[in-house]
Amino acid sequence: MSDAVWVEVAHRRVGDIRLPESAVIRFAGLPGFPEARRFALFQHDQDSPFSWLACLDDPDLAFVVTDPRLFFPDYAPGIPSRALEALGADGACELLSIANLRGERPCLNLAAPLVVDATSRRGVQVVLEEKQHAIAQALPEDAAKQAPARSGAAGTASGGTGTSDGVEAPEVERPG
Amino acid sequence: MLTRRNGEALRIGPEVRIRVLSISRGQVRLGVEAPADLLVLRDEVYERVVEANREAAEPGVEGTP
Repeated sequence: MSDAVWVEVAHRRVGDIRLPESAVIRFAGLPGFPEARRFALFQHDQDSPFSWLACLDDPDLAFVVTDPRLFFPDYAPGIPSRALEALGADGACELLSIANLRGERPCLNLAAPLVVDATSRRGVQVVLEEKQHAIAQALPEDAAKQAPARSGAAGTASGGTGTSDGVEAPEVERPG
Repeated sequence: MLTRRNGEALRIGPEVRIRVLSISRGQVRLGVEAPADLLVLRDEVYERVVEANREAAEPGVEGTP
């Protein structure tokens, strides 16, 4: 690991990010953000179900994401095999949903989940054609209270240790 | 702009082929052959995801910088 290449970004949404190149997650852009390719994924807070997916190419761009099955245990989207093929995924993939915490009622996008391949560190936002998944599924009332934007933590990434999937956690430093 | 009849196809680059499968009462069925890493979607579905992503990326009303 002594040869590890580190990526450092002074991110305006989540604070300073520093992580090994090997922990960077690569997307071929996201709908609406075609230039957003390299991301850091780290927990918002040790006890929070929410994580940050912060773009390393754009220091103003970050999404709040979470494992949708923490809130909707029955959620089992059919990810098209061609999407997994495109990732080069042959093993375990992480399923995440983008959270929108701005409105009156925080919600998750269940219609277009993110799939991240743990091995290749590549990700894709899969747009499901299945009509039963809502693009803005309201979160249960109590769940929303744990959300970063409402916790008063000013969006700083605290700690950044201990991602849920055992992948090497990016080191995130508090600004200032 | 180009005109295609039932059963005819067009290509976009070497790997994408779109064929007119049937035309009936104002509806056109299209068959799309494309590489796995290329997203093929109805335009309005894609636009909804674009909008949802943009909204979700906006800093929060409170808390976030």
